Amino acid sequence: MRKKFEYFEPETIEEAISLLVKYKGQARLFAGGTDLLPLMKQEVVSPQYLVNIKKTPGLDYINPDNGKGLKVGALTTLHAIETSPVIREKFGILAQAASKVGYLQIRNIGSIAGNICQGYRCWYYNQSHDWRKFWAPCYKRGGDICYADKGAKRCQNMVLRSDTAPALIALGAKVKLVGEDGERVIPIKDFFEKTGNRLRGDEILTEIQIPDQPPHACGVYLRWSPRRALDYPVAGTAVIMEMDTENSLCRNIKIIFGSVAPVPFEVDEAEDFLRGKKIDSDIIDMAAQIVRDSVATKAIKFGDHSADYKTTMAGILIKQSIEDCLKLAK
Amino acid sequence: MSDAFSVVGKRVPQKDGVDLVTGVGKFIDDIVLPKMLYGKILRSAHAHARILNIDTSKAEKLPGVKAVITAKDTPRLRYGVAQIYDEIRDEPVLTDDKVRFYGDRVAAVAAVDVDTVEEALDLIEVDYEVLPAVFDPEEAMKPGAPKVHERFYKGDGVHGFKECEVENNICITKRVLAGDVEKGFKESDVILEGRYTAHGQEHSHLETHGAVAAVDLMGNIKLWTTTQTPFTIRRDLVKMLGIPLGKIDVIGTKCGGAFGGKNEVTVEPHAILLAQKTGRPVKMIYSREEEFIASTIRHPFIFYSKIGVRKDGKLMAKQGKAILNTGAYSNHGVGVAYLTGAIFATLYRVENVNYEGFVVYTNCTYGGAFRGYGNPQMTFAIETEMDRVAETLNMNPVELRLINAPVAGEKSACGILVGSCGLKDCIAQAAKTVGWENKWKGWETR
Amino acid sequence: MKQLISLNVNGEVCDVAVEPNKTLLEVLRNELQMTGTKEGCGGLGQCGACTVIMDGKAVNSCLVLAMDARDKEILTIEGVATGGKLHPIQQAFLDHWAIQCGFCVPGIVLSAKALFDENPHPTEDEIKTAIAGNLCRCTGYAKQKEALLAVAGRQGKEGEK
Repeated sequence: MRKKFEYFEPETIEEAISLLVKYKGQARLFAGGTDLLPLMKQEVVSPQYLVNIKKTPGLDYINPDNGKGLKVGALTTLHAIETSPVIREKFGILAQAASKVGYLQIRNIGSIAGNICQGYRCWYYNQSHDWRKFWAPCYKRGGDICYADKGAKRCQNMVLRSDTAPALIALGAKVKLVGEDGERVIPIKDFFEKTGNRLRGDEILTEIQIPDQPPHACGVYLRWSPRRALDYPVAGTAVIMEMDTENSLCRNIKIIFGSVAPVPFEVDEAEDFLRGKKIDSDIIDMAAQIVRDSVATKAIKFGDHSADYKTTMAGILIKQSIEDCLKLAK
Repeated sequence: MSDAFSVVGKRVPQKDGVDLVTGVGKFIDDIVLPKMLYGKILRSAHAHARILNIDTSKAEKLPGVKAVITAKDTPRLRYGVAQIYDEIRDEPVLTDDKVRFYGDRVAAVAAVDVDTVEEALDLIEVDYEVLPAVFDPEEAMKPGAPKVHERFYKGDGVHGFKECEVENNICITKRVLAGDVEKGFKESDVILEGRYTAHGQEHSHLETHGAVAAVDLMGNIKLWTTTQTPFTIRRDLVKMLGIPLGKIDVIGTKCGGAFGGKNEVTVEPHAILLAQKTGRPVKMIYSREEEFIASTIRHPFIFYSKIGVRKDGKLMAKQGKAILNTGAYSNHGVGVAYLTGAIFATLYRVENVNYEGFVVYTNCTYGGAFRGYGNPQMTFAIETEMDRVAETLNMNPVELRLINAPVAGEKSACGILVGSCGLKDCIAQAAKTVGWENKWKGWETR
Repeated sequence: MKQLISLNVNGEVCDVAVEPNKTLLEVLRNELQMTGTKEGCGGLGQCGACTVIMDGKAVNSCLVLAMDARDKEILTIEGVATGGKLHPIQQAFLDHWAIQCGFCVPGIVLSAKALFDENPHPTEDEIKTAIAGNLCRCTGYAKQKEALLAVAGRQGKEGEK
């Protein structure tokens, strides 16, 4: 890449945080780099200081949490997560989501925290230096226009296209954020806002805490992309279902959609509809319609994929997810 | 197979297989020469604009920059890369009047490394007078549409080249006329019309375009390039740079995929000019983005088709108007227009043909050779039409094709002698393989 | 500012002076003149032509900073054939006509080698997952899959999951 930067390898989290504070706004954390390096090569972001957090020990682990669940270190690679026996057995939806990110070479160096904290993507913003040279800057670049939504009065920030985020939201996970004022733990569903994630400039996401799931819960993460690998998801659905298999009754269900709208969202209406019902193909069809109605109000166009297309895919994905959950429950 | 042959009928090891599988085979970006510089082209900011002024002074002063060239450093000729029937010369090495597509060539820089080259490109200041642009070829053909080219040169090396005016952005029209289509339509029981479109396509070979040029003190040029056609590149460079043939050696490196996309000149002349100016070898490699913006694509295609057929399935007349969006330059447009006409007249057999193929300029990326060379677009239209005809006649689509398939020994309406033709056998065999007889239950059941 | 670093490439340790903004791919190709590893997508991690093996795992060298490659064991295509003999994967590619232009081949060979080093008898699905990040524009992947199935000892058993 063309632009130069000063490079640091902090040996403790505190050192890393103090670098973020010292070079406020001009420093970026560098973990796997699979999101950050392409952005730097395209000159979408050009940090003057790069803080390589990979050399900081104590951030790469998958540890049981005193019988309450699991703690996963921020730098755990996506490959480690997709192959971890304990995650595959008890939190299978996360292993599935991690296994769908990019392709193996990406998963071998990409970190879970990186996948969660990745920059929201916009068709017009995530372009090369040469492409953007010939367009007046958009809001995100200090200009006064949004190319994705011409009438918009501010940056629309477009879409978080993470696979692991919807799965972690469905699991009820929390994230630990450590900054100069100490640490805080917040539910991951509150971590994503339309304007960006809630990481402050001095903070580092150090750990993901996943609670144990109810005994009969089955989780499935499915996504749609033009190719089976390499692509970001056009739509991703995370479904965790608790079944009373004797009576085919749905005790509880969580339905989270990702990549369809700016941030992942829960489809409460479909969850309320399915809870307590005997699940058969008619019920699944009706749930799919409720999902489509909900997604239609939130889906936004991205590149070649219209909101309508995403809504259609959401309907297909939810049906498949529920059917897969039923199979797992047996 | 007889053992009399040592190669024919035998599995022969891939000659360069071991080199490729061990990473030893040299592709263009693997060529490294002592004191080699890196070059890149400054591309147009607009789809259609006149260049009022280019100020390269800041770029030239940047440490590490060894040369910056614009049109004034080139022979200012127009060239064309395809010599099929008519040679059209409409392309400049670096534009000296206006840019005709987003990505058109404005200037070129050579510097000690790629980062410095990119820095230098940002420092070149160009004053453009933006002109209205046209992207749809049918719009471009209407009177009053923005003119992409005012004139070009047409001819050949023997009879010379004539300057031609361009009207309605039509570069050239290829025609196939045979028999009497009006009579054919009168004798038809059914006449069907359709409009077909096929979009452009980028070759996207995994290795991008590139070249390395080195010039010695006697002015002899050695040029390495990733290409399908080193000899035509050599011939084209002689044309566009005015160099004697004996002074230029073109070496094709291992070619990382082409599919027709490396039948053309991209950075070769610029690498040579920069090497001549600096006295050092110059390497220029296309970025992946440049492949999409500034390398040829499959011609986007609009086709108006009219077919007349007798109720026994015999095709009586075919009339077609093809509009090939050749983009900013003609490149292989002439050849593609000819081929689509030849296919239209030959597949399937018909005595009465009226075909017009228009090669139309627009301010889009320009079309060139892409495996198929017009065949995929035209065959898609023809085969779809045949299915429609079959449906209208309530005839088995396989039977309709067998009735009208050309056979060896025939002369097609455009004058092509069909020497050998396995089409009928192929259709029959394919139908048998998929169990067509059992599957086909008539049009009503579809 | 350039820093002097040691890299262990194909079993040999070499010292290079690099700017922190240089990737492993650039250092391999430019400083070490090891041009077997290719660039196909502008270094954005979208084609896999730059795949190398780092500490046993297939990675895109265009997305690894050279600084991060210190203290790691790196294997490039130049180090796959040893003792003057082709690796079985390389031989299989030749035997099964899996090479056309050859540009993607170094990357695929390394992705496959990382798989076979961990799992000598992968299934077809496991092979597909291992090479899913390596684009090939020439072959359509069928012959490469056939070659790798043969190496896995599963010749003629396509379709097995």
